[in-house]
This record gives sequence, structure tokens and C-alpha cells, in this order.
Amino acid sequence: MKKYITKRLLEIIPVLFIITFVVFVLMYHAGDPVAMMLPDEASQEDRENMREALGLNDPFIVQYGNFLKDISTGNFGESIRYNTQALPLVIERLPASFELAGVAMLVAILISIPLGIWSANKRNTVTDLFITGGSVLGKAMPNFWLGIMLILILAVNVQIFPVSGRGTLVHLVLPAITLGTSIAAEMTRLVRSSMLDTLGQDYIRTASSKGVPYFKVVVSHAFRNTLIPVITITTLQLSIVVSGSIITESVFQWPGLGLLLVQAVNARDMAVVQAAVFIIAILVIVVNLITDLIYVLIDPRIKYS
Amino acid sequence: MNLLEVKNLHTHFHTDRGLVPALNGVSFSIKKGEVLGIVGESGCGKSVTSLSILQLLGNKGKIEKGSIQFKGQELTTFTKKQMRKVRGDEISMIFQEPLTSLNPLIRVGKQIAETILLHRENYSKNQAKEHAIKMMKMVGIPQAEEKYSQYPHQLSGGMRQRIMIAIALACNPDLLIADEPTTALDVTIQEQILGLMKKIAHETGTSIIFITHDLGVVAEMVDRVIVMYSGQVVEENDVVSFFEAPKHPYSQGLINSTPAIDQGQKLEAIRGNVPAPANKPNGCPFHPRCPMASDICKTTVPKNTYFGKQEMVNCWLYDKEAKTS
Repeated sequence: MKKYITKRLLEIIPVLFIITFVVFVLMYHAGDPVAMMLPDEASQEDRENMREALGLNDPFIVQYGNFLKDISTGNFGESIRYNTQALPLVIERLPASFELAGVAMLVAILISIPLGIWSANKRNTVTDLFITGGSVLGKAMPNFWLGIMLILILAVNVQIFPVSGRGTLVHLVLPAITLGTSIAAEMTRLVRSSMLDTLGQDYIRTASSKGVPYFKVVVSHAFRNTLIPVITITTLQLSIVVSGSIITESVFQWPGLGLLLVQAVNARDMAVVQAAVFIIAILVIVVNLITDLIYVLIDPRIKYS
Repeated sequence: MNLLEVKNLHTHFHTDRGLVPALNGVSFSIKKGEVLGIVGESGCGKSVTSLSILQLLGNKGKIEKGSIQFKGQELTTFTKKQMRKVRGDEISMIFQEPLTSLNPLIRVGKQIAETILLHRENYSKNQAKEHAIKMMKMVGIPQAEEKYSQYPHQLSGGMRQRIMIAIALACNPDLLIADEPTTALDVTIQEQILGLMKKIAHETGTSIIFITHDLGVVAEMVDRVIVMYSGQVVEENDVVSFFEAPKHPYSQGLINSTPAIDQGQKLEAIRGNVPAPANKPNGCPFHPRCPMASDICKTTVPKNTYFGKQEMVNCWLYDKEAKTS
């Protein structure tokens, strides 16, 4: 097991290497940062000097080498907007993002698991139709639209929640609903189909033939078996949370990683973009690793060696 | 008194494609300590019969008509809660697929102990565990204490079926329904499991309903045979007469299609397939495949003809009225 974790952690290195390359290529072709950095009245000569000084006239491979050398010491360069190191800037935004993603995920799980189980056990009834229909609706609603609607109704017309920002628990409600809705919708459908599949298994019939009450059959025999595919998709959802939170954070001006990234892109603040993408990539890798480890806890058939 | 008496049982399935009458008036009985075999091809209603007794038909299946008397009580009038008390305690069941019939995420010992805890309220968890280990030893599982905390995937098919048997017998039931318990196992393991079940039937006096399509298993295990075809009992006989002088043409067909090493003659197959319950032919359901079918078979369903107390056949060939008319 320890060996497996070490191996997985070592696998992060080549993945990161590829990510640095992609990030660098994107940035390399994204346009001239010098134009953004110098005032409009700067002469052509000034620009040339600046490029030379920043090493922007070097061949691609040399620039990439320099880039790698810098980031290996955690130096992603300075943000042109904040005039500080990019990496600490990104890292200090993480708690806000974790807070939002965590609460949204929690809300999604708390809603989707009972609803999914319920709807599977009431399949082809009105209840099931309602839940399935609701989840299609939840999935179909764009994040930004739902966020704006919630602000309009619950923060502007009826002033229950603040329009934007972060601070108290009340600030968290609307962004968490916005981000959680589509995740909950997707997961409800998944729990339902996985539950239906499990309920058709032979061991469920065995449990009933032993005289286990139906509720207990569902909770202690079916539920854990239902979770395995659900966890797989939940992990995939987590990477959607990362990207989805870019929109949600923008709508609610939530000071997290997503908002920082969007603002950095708009301002061509390349150092920050690179650092943010890099951190998001590491997050996704770590989440995947954690998922693989959760499998072991749930399913005794899965063993890593 | 009979332990179980099933009379005129009709079970229907309400599927998306309409009503499927799976059982059409099944009647049979089983005495205490008796081993009854139910034979027939796939789709003839053997499993539905056993699931009807335990009322494990799912959402779509329903007992429409008939009576199931168990120890003098009418099971069809039982509430869900009363039925739960019967299942696993007084009547228990072993299924065909030991590979999929155990919950993959629960330790096998716990799956045995669960039954005990459900039906023996005065047992503590430790007592249930001890009892489960005792059951594992009884069904011949070596190193039972160790195996107690293993998961199903760590055991072989034969061992898993032994676990299933241990679950089924944990509360010392009056009736054990075994639905093709050896079909999915290797021949050598089959032999061991059959031997085990025989021994248990002998020692505990548990009655067994043995559902199978393997006539070799029937010959080895059972006292009495009922033959099912298309949701009906077409012949009932004691096992010796069944093999020596099968009455129904379907039983004759089944026996003729079983290979025997000393005969050296060509195997005969029964032509055609069991009709789907939804589109059963008129008259005797077997007539399209029957080599002895006459005109009356095509139009009118035969009545049961009885020979003594234990023998019955549902065929026009034995009907006195048909012969004289």
C-alpha cells in the first residue's frame, strides 16, 4: 500500500512536466506581454530592449528551459497586477475556493444520495418522475444564469442574502447553491441508476430471503455497493467543480482561485495564470489519488500492490 | 400433516409488455423430512414456484390465486412483517449462483451472523458469531474462524455455496428450498455439496425442495419428483417409478434425453422449446412438442389423473373419459 502511494506520488512528476509544457506553449502564443507592460507612449526601441531584457527574443526551447528552471524553485514570476510573486498569490486564494467547493460538494452529496436512493426504490412512479425530471432541469440550468437569478430574487428583490463577497456563512449560501445544483443533479441520476443496478443483484435477493427488512436491505446491503460507481463520477465532478467555480466565483465575486484566474487572464497576467493552472492540475491529481484510496476502504476486492 | 401444501397456485407477472402468467394452478405438497425434486426445462416455472412460496417475486410478480399452507398457516394472507419472520428462519433458500449470491462487501461470517441476529433476538453479537462459526464447521469449511472474516471473493465457488448453505441453515429451518444449488459448480464440487445437503437433511430432519434440471441430481437426492411444464405440474411420482416408468410424454422425453453410459444408444432430444408464458398454445401446453399428441390435446386442457395417493399425471393418454369417448 505504501509502495502504491509512493508510486502514485512519483507519477505526478511526469504529469506536471507535461502540464508545464502545455501551459508554456499556450502562453508563448498568447501574445506579447511587453505591450501590456509598457505605457502606450513607449518607443519601438524601448519595447525591443524590454523584450531582450526579459529574454523574449530567445529561441523557444531556451525560454522553456528558463521557465522550468524558475518554477522548480517555486518562482512563477511576478504578477503585473499585484507586483508580488504569483505563487503565494494563488495559494492564499485556496482556502476560499476550498470552502466554496467543499460546501457545494457537501450540499450536493446530502441532496443527491437520499434523492437517488428514493427515486430508485420508487422507480416509474410520480415521485421518480419528479426527481428525475428535477435532476435534468438542474443539470440543464447554466451556472451563471442560476447564480444571477438567485442574486436577483434572494439578494435584490428579497434581501435575505448578500449579493456578493465572502466573510460570513450567509455569504456562502447562494454561491454554494449555484455550484452545488448541477453537481447534485448529475449525482442524483447516477445514484439512482447505480442503486437500480444494485437492487437487481442476486445478493439483494439473498438478503431478502434471509428475512432482512427492506429498509435495511437498501441501507446495509445495497448502499455500499451503490457507492463504487458514484465515487468514480464524483471525482470527475470535482474537476468540474474547479472549472465550474470559475463562473460561480465570478458571478458572486468570490475571492477564490477561479476569480483570480479569470481576472489574470483578462489582464494577461501570465505569471498568475501559469501558477493557477499549475496548482489546479496538482489538485486534480491529488483528488484522483485520494479517490483511489477511498475505493480500498469501501471495496475489499480492490487491492493495490 | 403435510409441512407445506401448495394448492392451485397462480402467479402472474405484470410486465411492460403485458401480463405474463408464469404459474397456472400449481399444486403439490411436502412432508416433514422429505426431499422433493422439482424438475423441468428453463422457463417452466420452477424458480417462480419457490419465489412464490417465500413471496420474493419483486414489484412485478403477484400471487393471483391459490393457497400456500405452511405448518397449517396460510402464507398468502401473511403481512410483510410476518413473512420476514418466516424467511430465513422457518423457510430458507439457496440460490444457483454462489458467485453473485453473497454480498461482495460484507465478510462471509457476518452474512451468516446477520440471519441469526435477525431471528434470534436473545443472541448477543458474540453468540451469533460463535453460532455462525459452528455453522461454518458444520457445512465443512476448514479453518472456520479464519474464514469468518474473509470476503466472498477470497473463497472458491464451492466454499461460497457452503456459506450459502450455512446461512440457509443457521436458524434450523423446517423447509429448505434449493434452487439449482449445484448448477454453477464443478462436477467434483457438485458431488461434495450434494453429499453435504443429503447429510444435513438426514441429521436435522429439514425438508428440502430441490429444484433442478439435472436428472442425475434428482436420482441421487430426492424421494419424490414433480415435473413442471409451462407453469403447471404435469406429473408427480416417487423417484423410483419416475425413472422406471415415467408417465407423461414430457417426463419420458426428459429421461430419454439424459445420457447414460451403459446404453450406447442415440440420445433423443425433445423437439422445440418451452413456450413463452405469454403465448401458450391452446389445449395441453405440451402438445406441439408431444410425439403422442392427438386431436383432443390441441383443443382441451387435460385433467389430472391420479394413481393412488402419490402419483398424478396431467395427460389425456391416461384419462379414462378420453379413452372411452
